Amino acid sequence: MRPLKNEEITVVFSKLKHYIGSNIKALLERSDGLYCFRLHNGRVYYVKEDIVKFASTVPHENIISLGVCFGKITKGGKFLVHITALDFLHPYCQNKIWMKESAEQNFMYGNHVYKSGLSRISENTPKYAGVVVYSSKDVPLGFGVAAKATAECRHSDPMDIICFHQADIGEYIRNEDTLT
Amino acid sequence: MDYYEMFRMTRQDMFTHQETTRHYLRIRVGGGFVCRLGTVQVPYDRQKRSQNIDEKSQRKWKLVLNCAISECFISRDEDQCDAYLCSLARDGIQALLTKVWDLPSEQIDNSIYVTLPKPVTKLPREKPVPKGKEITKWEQYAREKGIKRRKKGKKVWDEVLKQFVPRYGYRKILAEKEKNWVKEVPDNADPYEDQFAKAAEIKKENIAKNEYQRLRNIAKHRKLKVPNVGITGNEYASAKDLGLATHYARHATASLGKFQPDLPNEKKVKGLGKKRKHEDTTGDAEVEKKRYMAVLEKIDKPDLNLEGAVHKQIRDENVIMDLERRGGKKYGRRSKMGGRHRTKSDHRAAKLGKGYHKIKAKIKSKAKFGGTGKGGSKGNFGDMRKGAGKGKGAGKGKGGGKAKR
Repeated sequence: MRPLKNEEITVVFSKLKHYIGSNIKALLERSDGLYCFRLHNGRVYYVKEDIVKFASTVPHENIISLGVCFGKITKGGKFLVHITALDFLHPYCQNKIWMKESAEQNFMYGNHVYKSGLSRISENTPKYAGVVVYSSKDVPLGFGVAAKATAECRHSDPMDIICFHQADIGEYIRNEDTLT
Repeated sequence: MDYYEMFRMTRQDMFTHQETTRHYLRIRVGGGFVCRLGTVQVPYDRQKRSQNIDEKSQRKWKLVLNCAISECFISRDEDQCDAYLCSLARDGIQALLTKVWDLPSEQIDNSIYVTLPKPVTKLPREKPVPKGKEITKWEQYAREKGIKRRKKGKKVWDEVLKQFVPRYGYRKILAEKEKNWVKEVPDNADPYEDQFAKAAEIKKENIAKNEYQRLRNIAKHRKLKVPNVGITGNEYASAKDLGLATHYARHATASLGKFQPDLPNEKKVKGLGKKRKHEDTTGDAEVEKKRYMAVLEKIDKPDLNLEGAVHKQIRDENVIMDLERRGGKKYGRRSKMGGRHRTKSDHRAAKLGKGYHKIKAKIKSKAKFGGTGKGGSKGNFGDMRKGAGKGKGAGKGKGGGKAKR
């Protein structure tokens, strides 16, 4: 377990910027204490400072997880966001997609979002922007990348992919073993 | 046949490797291994045989094969020489034949036969006598102090555990662990110091010291030179060990290896040198937050560095203008800098393709066409550009164009 280096933090923040834009500051400046990022076994954890101090007493081979796992940094130096970050990121998210009830299940099995399943999309969503997928009842379902800008969506085919799947809450069951 | 000869020889004794100069008188009687006494022609005095040979006058005769060899001092007196030598010869032959008669004899066909003993050829030593084992420093000390070796038993009675514990091995370690499950921290020691680790460290040091002394003894025995400090070479050292040795050797200089030139095919060993340090896990959280903010700012910055581009453009144009003003020549016939493009501005000018020679060519062309051409257009903007601020310069087409890069 160690703090992230500047290069690693840059990569993480750049990725998070796709989803929450300039609200990253909100992650750092919180009223309930100092939060920080720690790297353990290649995974980036968002933890409170006191918990980090407790965790440092545990031998590192015995630590499985601490705080919230935001994602992992791959061997190639890229940062992948995991579903476990959803609770912390969705309040700050700028671009949102709402799905029809019939298409919710489909997304939760790991498929992309089609125009036929789209109910609403937030305005001025640029193409390839990071997006949070909601159900019709405003329950966050996962992350995605907008395949089309808002304007394009209106004129697209029902079978066109609107949003590429990145992560969904179905992974909690599917990838139970690998999520930390 | 029968003869006597006297000679002097300086030889190295085969057995003790000592050199001596000796006088020899050699008498040869007959030949062959089996000596048929009947045919000996030397005047053999049978009477003398029974006489008691005078002990004093008897010289030591070495009887080897069929020779009787004696060492004696022979005077150089001319008068008595011949007779003296003759008498010596007779004595020698006498001694020889006495020995021969002493051997068991047998009679075959009216002749007395004697089997001479087989000659024993003692070969000399090939190498000198080995010197005894050198005693080690401890053995020497023990001898002085009168310390004797005591035989130790395999098991030792342990008061604490109330049982016999082996002196060495796996069970000894287990017993020690049982006894030393807790260690007191002494009053004057640092409370955060690990006493167990400290004890383990001390033990390691002792073992290493013992090993070093053992190897030193061996080296002393084999007459090898062992340095007191540093790594000793080993013929069978692995590449990694050799790399380590070169690493330490390189760093044992006044500049700590910074200015040490490499050997022709030297490869640097991996894993040596300064270990990169990560930041503390439980370090100051505030400081860390500041670091995150700094990174954020950097990310939020736009990709275009407009300021930098503008500055660069201004500088380039100044350089070129300077060069043109000078007429493309900075120094006199003997250049102080000793050649082309020696200053920074010269380098810059050369990079822009506006070097000394090119300027010269341009000036020539200028003169030809009377001020028109490339040089002319630049001249118009000259005053404005030199003093221009960031905004003004960029306003013209050139600044914007450069920024796009």
